[in-house]
Amino acid sequence: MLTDKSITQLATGLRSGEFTSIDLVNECYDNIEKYNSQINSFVTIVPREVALKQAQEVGSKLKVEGSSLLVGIPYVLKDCFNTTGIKTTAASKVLGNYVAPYNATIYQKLIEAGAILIGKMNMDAWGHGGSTENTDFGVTKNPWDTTRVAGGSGGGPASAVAARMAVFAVGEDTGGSIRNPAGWTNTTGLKVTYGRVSRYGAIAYASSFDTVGPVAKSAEDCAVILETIAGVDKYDATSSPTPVPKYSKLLDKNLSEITIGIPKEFYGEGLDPEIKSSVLSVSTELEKAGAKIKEISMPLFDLCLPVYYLIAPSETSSNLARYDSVRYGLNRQNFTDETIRRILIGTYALSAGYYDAYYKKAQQVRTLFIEEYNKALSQCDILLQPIMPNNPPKFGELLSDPLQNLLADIYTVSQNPVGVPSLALPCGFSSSGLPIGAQIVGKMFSEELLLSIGNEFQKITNYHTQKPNL
Amino acid sequence: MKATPIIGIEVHIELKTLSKMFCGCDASHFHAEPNTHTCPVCLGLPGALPVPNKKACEWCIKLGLALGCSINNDTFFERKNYFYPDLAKSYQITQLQKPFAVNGHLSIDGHDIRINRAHQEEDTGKSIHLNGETLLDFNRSGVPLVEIVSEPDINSPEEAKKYLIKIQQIVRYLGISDADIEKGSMRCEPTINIKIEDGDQTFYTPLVEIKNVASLTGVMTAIQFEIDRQISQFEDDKVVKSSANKTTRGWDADKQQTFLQREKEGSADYRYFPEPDIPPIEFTSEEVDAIKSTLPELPDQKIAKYLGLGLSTYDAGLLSDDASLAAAFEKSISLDSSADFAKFSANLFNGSIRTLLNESQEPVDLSKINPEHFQKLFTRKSDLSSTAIKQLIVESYQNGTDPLEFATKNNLFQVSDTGAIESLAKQVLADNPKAVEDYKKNPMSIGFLVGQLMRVSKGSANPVLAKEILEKLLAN
Amino acid sequence: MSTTTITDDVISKVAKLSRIDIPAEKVNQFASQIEPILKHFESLSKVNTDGVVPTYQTTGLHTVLREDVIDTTRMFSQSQALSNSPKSSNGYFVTSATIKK
Repeated sequence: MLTDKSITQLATGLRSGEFTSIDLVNECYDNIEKYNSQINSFVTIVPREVALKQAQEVGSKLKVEGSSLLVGIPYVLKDCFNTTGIKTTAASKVLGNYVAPYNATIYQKLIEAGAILIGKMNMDAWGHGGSTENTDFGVTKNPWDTTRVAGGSGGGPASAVAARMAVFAVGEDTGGSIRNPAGWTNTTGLKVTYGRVSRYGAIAYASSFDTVGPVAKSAEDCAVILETIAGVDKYDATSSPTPVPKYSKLLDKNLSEITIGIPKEFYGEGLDPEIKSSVLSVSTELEKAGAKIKEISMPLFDLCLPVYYLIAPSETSSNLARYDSVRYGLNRQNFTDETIRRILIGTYALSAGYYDAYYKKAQQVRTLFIEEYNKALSQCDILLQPIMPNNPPKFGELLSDPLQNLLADIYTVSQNPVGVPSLALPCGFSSSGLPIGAQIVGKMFSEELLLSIGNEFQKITNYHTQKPNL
Repeated sequence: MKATPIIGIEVHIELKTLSKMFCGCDASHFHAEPNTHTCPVCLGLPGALPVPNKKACEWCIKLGLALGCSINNDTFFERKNYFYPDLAKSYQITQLQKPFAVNGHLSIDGHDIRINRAHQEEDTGKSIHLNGETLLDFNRSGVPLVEIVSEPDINSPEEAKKYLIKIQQIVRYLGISDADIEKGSMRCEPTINIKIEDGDQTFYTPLVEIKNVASLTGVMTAIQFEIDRQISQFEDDKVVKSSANKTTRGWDADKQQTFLQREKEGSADYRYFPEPDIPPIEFTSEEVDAIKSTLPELPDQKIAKYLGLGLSTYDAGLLSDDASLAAAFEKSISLDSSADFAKFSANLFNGSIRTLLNESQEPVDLSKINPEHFQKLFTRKSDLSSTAIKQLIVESYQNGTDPLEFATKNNLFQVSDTGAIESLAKQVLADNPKAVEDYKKNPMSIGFLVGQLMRVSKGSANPVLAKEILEKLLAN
Repeated sequence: MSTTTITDDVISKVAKLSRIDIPAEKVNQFASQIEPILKHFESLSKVNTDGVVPTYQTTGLHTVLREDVIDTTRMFSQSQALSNSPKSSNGYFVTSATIKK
């Protein structure tokens, strides 16, 4: 399958004439026709003719010297990015038939790079969830076992890449929304450093946590996508002016230079033993290739949950206030229960009399987490952490108990308040054949290091090449 | 029973920057077609993000400095969360904990009014209520505002008006806003209560905030109405101020009264929190000093200067009312700083020049003020009638004509040659025996004879000299 | 940290602040779901945060400002601005009457 190839291989093949963008687009749409009804990754499928027309015009772009590797490559966007001419829903009825009159910065960059958008993808509405069940467009099923969730909030993008309905996706990670589904669908996803990629045009969930990042089949592919979408944006005051390295050219790493930190608190009670062993095997593999391992301690550990779950709902309660059905969208009564719960918690945490004890306190403990991550990362180059404590559950299991649902995010909600980047890598399968992922976390703006280590890992393992049996 | 009004005022100044506070939309909105100056940011579309306007921040600091405030070097924006259809994001980006400017003051007739703060925020869109519906125009949404909050140091409607006029003057001097109350680029919301002293007991009536005053006179009338209303209400119900009974009343200009709008949800929980989309802002002391160095001489400083020149308080006040007029006056006397010359020029500015400008409805054009012309006129003023002087300065302003050349060409110089006047005076006395008789009975009737002399001299005689000479002759 | 119980009354008040109409029969459901969550968060109160400065942003950036120029590339035409409105008339967005502010 063309869609099994890496972006770099596709770019080479397109330029050599081995195949065309039309072939690639058609293969994606054939897969959509075959699989989407089983998986339900898409909210909006861009009409095939529209995509094919763009594919036809790709020829001249390919000939341009130094043209982007993404020219002619079909991709999908989590449905939280503003795209002119194509509906944006955030998977919620509240947005109604909103068609954005402007483009998100990353979408604009991908247009300019010549990539071909073929779909807007299902998600937990507004980013609120870890299973793509909190959506008004039907649940997204895990391609590896369609009786189970694909993860969330970016279940749509990750499952589409897993099922080869698109070559890559761009999503948003606020507390695991790229990493969680990547781990559960055997794809590779990158939560970038806060500010690495512009948020302009990305529907806000928690403004000081939200990050925009790639989901693809490999770290190498993520690198290609990242170097296209990263960079400072004059329309986003929180975007970083730190220069963007040519990530795709910096994928080799001498692993004997690396020390991997294993924070012991992340491997305690509550973590499925198979997952624990798969995740730790990442360090063993890397150690065989020369890396050093160091056990460290990050005692604040599960306090990340109240930090995240007080600040994120607070920011979201404010970010979602603009949906008053005056300038666009439908009535606020259309919010789902999960979203309403988060709005209520957030409004309460900010309200008079509670602000100091909840919101402010959480922001203070956030500072302590930043210090803890700094200390941990001063003892090692990357931290190896699990992504989810369990395998993807069956539908309804997480939603039935809001508190348990929240506790399941324990491994992915500390990185966003701190701002550090994390790369989710496939690292094994459960005895029942369900994908297991691990995350490697680095210092701020260490994407180059993470992607190169991820690439080295994917040179010596082949978990990431496995495909679901659809 | 003694009743003392306690008044504080919140003023909002709309800055006349080119672009809005957090986006690059055209900030002008007066008379623009509705919803033609909007973008994702000021329209509150999903995914939009604010980026602050540097000039607006500098102007807020500048205004704070002009009001005698201390400037916070480190500040940040916050979100004030509430729902209203004309508030596009359902939160207003403003400053709470760290305003740009704090602790200033304005002196009104020697009474110091403390200014708590001057901070930066954004405006909302405009609502028009019509036929049970609300029409919304977001052209004004996001326009930069500076909010100036006074302490409750103001103690009368008159003082309130003077306070507002002074702020208006300062803002216009800085060139940062038109500060036009009728057009809405300056908005005032007084908060009033009354201190009532009855025997040895003291009571305070509940606080009332007044909204919707659209003129300076309106402010005075509304405040006076409210003072009277509160006193009479207190006599009725004896209810005193508490933290929970502040109310908002609207001013109805037609009925000339305030009416209850809503209980101030003092309990309106705005859930302020620092704006996560905008990094904190730092203006170093050097940068603040640089802004301070761009402050023009302000009205109070000009008044002091003009008083120092020997002008009356009235003249000084009138001249400093408008920055460009003051600049024109100063240019006119730039070649001579003597008190007499200053008085001479001040009279011209406050008289014929001001009249000319009022008629033409145009602001003064500094390039048309020729200091040499003013000086020349001054040196020959005793040879010219006051009417002639007015005519000459207008000629100079409108056409750049040299006044002395024009006076010569048009025979405007008065004769001050005593010999010549004396011979004319003798003539007049000879020709008007009855008037001479009248004068002997009533010296005040000299005017007739002076008039005759002016007539026979065809207006060229110096009237002061004419009178003197006639009186001298008549005395003999 | 406050140990206020999340009563139905609290939910009703907070829902009002958030402009969300929760049907009476659901108020209790939300109260009973949110209460254990907030109780769980009381672990935060045990952390010593004396003298700890809250973090509101992790960018480390400051003073990110823009020049005062009009950016016509982003400005909408009237029809673009109104393009998603449920109701508009003569260039205005229209909504049912609200109390004067």
